[in-house]
Amino acid sequence: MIIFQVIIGFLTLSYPGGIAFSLLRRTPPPKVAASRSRVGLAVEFLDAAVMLLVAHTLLDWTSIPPLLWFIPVALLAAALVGAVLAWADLPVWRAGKPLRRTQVFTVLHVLVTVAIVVVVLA
Amino acid sequence: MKRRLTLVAAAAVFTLVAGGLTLPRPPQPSTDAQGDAALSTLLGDALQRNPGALDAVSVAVIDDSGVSHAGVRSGPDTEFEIGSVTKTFTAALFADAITRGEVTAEQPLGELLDLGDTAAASITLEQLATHTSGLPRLPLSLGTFVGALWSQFSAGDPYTADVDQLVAQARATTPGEPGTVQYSNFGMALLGQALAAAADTEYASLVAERLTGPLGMDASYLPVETSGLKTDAPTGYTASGRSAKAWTLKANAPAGGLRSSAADMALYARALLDGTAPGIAALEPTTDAGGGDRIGYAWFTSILRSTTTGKNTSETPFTWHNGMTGGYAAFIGLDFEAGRAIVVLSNTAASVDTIGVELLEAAR
Repeated sequence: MIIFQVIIGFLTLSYPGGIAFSLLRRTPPPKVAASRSRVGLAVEFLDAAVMLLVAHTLLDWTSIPPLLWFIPVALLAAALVGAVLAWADLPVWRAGKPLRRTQVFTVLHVLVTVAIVVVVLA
Repeated sequence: MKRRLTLVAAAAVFTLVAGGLTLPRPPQPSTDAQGDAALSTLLGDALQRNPGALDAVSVAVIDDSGVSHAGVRSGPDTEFEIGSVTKTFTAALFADAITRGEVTAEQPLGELLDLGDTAAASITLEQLATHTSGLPRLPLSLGTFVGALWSQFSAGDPYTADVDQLVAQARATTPGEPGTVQYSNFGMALLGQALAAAADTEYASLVAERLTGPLGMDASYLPVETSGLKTDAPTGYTASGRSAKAWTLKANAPAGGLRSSAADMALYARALLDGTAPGIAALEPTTDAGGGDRIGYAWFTSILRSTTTGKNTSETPFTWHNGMTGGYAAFIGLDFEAGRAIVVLSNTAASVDTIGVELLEAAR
């Protein structure tokens, strides 16, 4: 189904691209909420990696030129550069939010992400 | 500044190494076909030109000299889902039911299925058979859309409606303007269920009693439900090479639920070429399908165009249908002038139409 391929393709490019754009622009500081902490950033990268896994597994690479795969990988690499530059200035957990609630949401988020991986690879 | 340059260089290296190592590699089957020597060569060449099939491909050529088989990782008896080629069986049942006097071409669907006084009730059986009913490809609902997306995600069967639910979907659907060909799985599923109702049986039984049984297609069957699959029923692969679950389609089985083999499909094709298949009138093109194509009951009739030049290779039409499920693709083409038919079955959901057309072209 073409619409499914388009949705996956859009997410695969926009998600790591969004992280990279958010982290690499100098002013104002990163606006992506999860990127305001090291844990949030790690979770975002987990999401981006899963997004690439989904695209790698589900996209019809007989119709899409495989060399286009380098685009999301390059965006992820750019996001990694931004993460390295931002890492030292980030708190472990996001400031100004209840720690317990943030932790619970983080665990739930990771569980959902793992479930997606299981469904895709099953 | 130096740190940034280092990071940029590291990102470039990461992109090249990680991207290169994980670069998607479209499925490339072995092109080492077995079987009839000449056909194996043709098939191997066609597979090299048309990548996509991941694993098993089985081909049969049927002509006056008999049946030739060739296959990659498969034999003539290997089981495949034939997807929408099933529609040609539903079409044959329709033409046969007209001959038997069970239904008429102009009979409203509402006389056979409980559609009340809804718009779908006035659709005729012939409109369903020629895809001119105005019904959409699939029922338009959020549930259908989400189900289709989920099936793509999980590589599963998106068709989960039973007959009552299918009829309810028809009641809830407002068809578009009838008369123009708009390919509809929904419509063909309703046609199959209406024919079953007219014969007071189930669709799978109708196919077995009136088509596959009389034609000796002993390996062909409609599982309808997962529980109806044979214990060793194979499954195929998505176009990206992922293992796909079997599609049984439940109430939508008349639109694509049949499993068969190249040997069985050769029997079907032989009977179609000979004009001895039940419901042979289904092949007669009656309606303009656009682009120079015409359609009979499910069957399309087109002028053979070269797959390399795009130009017509002759003015002789050929009759065909293709099919695809989550893990399979199929093609059947009939060249009545040459007395030849081609069947191509693959256990990857990547079109084999071009391979089928190339083999028909090569045979001319």
